[in-house]
Amino acid sequence: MTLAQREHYPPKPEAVYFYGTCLMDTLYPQAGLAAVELIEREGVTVIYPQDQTCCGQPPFNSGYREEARAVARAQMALFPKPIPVVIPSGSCGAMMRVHYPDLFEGAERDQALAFAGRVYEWSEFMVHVLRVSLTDRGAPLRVAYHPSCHLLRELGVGDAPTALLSQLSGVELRPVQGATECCGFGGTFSVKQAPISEAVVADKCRAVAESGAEALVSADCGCLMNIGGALARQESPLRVLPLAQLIKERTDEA
Amino acid sequence: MSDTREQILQRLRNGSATPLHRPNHRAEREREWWARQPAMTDPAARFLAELDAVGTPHVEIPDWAAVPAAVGTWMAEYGVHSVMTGAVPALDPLRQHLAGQHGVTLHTYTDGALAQQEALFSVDCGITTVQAGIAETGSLLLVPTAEQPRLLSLAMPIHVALLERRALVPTLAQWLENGEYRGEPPSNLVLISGASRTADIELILSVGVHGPKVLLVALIG
Amino acid sequence: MKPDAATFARDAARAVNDTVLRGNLNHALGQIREKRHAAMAALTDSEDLQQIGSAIKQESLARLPELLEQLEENLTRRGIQVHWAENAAEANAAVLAIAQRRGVKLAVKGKTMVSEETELNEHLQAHGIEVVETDLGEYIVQLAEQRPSHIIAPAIHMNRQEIGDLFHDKLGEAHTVDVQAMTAMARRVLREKFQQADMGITGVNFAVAETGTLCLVENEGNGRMSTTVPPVHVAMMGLEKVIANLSDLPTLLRLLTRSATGQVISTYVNWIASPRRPGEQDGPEEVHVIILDNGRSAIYGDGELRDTLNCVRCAACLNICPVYNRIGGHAYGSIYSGPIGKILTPQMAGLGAAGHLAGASTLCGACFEVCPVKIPIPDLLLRLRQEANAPSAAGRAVFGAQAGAMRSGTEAMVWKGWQVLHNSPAAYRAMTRLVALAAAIGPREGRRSLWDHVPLKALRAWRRTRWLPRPAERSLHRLLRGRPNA
Repeated sequence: MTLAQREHYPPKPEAVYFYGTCLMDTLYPQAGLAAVELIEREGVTVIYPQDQTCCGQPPFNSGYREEARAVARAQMALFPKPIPVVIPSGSCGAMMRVHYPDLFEGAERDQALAFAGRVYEWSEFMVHVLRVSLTDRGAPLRVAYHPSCHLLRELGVGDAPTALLSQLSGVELRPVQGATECCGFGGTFSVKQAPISEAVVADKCRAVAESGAEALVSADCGCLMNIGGALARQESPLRVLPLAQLIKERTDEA
Repeated sequence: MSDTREQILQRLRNGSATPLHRPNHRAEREREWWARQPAMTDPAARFLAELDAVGTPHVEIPDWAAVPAAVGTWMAEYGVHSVMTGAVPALDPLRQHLAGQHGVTLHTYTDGALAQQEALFSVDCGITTVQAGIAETGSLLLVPTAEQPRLLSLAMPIHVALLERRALVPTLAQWLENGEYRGEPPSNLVLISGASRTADIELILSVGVHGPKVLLVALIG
Repeated sequence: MKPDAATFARDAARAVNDTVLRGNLNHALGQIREKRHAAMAALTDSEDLQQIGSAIKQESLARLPELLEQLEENLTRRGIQVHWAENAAEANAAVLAIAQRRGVKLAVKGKTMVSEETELNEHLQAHGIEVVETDLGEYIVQLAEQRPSHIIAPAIHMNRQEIGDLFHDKLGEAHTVDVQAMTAMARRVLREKFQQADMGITGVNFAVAETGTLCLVENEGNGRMSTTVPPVHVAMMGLEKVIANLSDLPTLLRLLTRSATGQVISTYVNWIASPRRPGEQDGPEEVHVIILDNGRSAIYGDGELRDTLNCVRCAACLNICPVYNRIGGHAYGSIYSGPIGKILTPQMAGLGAAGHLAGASTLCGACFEVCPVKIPIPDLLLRLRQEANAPSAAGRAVFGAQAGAMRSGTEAMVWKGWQVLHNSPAAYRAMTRLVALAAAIGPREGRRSLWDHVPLKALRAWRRTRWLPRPAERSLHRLLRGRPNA
């Protein structure tokens, strides 16, 4: 495992692929649409292969590599052009960028490495490749940001989401106690080790609530599902939404 | 048992055939890393700052002649009634001074008889010279000898360490480079960097567990 | 301690609800994390230093058999006796043999995880030898008849009230919760033991092959006492503790003490190269080293899993782990707990007994971030999960018959079905459509939907404290139909 932090970013491309991720596809599609439209707003064409399904992380994390490999192969085949593949998720991005090469050997591994080199997490892409400049049209809002573990530690993307949020002049970024601690999701961990997962997310919810934020954003749908689900159960008034959706809402012209 | 040894080693030899998982440029990277650390312009100042950081009292004195007075002051300050040193020539003036001090019993460590061990465990203070000081970590480097055994810096509540300024080196790595240790390792070497301590109860610092509760350092020269 | 999946589940659940334990852990671990963080931040490019630490261990491990032979030769040349132990039983037998030959009645112990691993105390005590732990934390857990719950601070799961009660009950001391007073009690008791002891038993932090030096680090002075006063010193070490050169030590020490307690150096760093020499007035007459395998050579044989042996036992991974922070060390059911325990125990105790530990992680990566020798713990957990669920033992040399020990036919079918579904774009899209339709059925007000009543065990576990998100009516696939497809 390496921190896959890049040293160099390419210039703005004419077109990119977009990998929506299965969670965003089914649970947060508006955020996916927002992420796509925010790229298109910069004059970049977004290609969305309809045959995409899932990056393969669920079986991979459970130790079922053969199944993960089969799905990974199929996903990579959908993105043949040497253009960036943008993914609005730290965990799926890390799966493709860090783990795909390890699923293969020989020539397939080389192909996977080349593919991995083209994978960008969405906020990373917005900040370091598109270099967006955002105009905030929203009402003042106190926002807490949860940095997902895969984004922060596996992909080494720490700055991009907060860089985007700090461009929103009406947004006050509220610090969260223990911000970089895991939310306790961990995929099947959340149900296989439910008591521990619950204890972790309970602390995260408390910290988020105590931050005084009115909304919680993250760049990972798994984390949002987890923290959001717990907050909702606690009847919290906090609005929980993906980063891309918040940005789109606030920067759309009325 | 030599079968066990051979079995273990053979398994490891078989396992050694596995190639190194990742490439390695360690020595070069270590040099580069050290070069990026802030340069130590004044080792003595750094040494004393590290002593301060852990609360070790210290004095700077100009020469060995000033040692008796400095130690005498400490004896009074800490209410020391019994003190032990080794029969090291450099400490003769100190021993003479202490022998003449009212209310202080001087023990001279002469041999390892049981009575001496009892004395080691019952005196208030042990005084030793030390071979070197490591500035980076505020450490005293002691190699026990016949005259200054291991317990002389361990068994009593107060340890006074006498260090010559010219024996200070910036880092442990540099001390190792002088080759003294590698040539013929002594049976024992210890780096002492403060009073004995623990935080095993609720992470609350408690000083003076099994070793000395007070470490006092005189930097000479 | 014998790990077991059901026991782990029960003990973990109990621990997260133990408010006293949680309070004790929060209080202590938060402080250690801050200390470590401050100490590393005071260095320029501390992350690079961690990589260098990893490289040092890697280099030494690459030469492990040769270095062990060199170490043995140098130790032996200076009069230190070397014993090799295949497993816990052999290690304990070796220590007992030395003790019996010397007529040992009382042994004092410096802190050594290896002796906990082999359960040495019980073995010696069963043969009539009194064993007294002298590290304050170990002494406390010994009095409490518990095992240490943390590599560096064995009694971290207890607060001073509990320890005060313990000292009062077991030592007959006046009841106090004053930490200095309790420390003084332990000092008084243990000083007698050091002087009466016939044998001192310690661990080894690093064994330097180049010179045959045993390096021990500590803060309390009990290690120095145990290796100086009794006439016999026995040092126990895992075979992975050997490093090549003296020049490796400064960097490893720099990393170890900062990572463990946030100190620039531990109070005492003790280098032992021989028993007492003629003319020397103290120090042991006999020094022994027990080199323990106990599964390490098997780990060694796997190029990826070998990184497990980098471990310098600093516990930084325990301190930062969200799981350890919520359940403490005892719940793991194995002496090595936390992230390092989750990769080490399944490899030592077998995937059948302990494979579940590899699943008890969110893979957050915080452990890897803080590890001074950069053990890629999340990657190794993934590897262990793969091994534990392998379809057959064929070709899986490291684990032999244990490969696939945790494989569940049901789960395998689930993932196979998952693969078939996700390898068919049409089937996947149909499924997401069905899910969206199903979610739309049911009350629209509030957050509840049909989803919240689906009786799947996994969903029930989620629903105890969380609502499920409602699947959207129109998936992203549908919303993006107008975009270019290729």
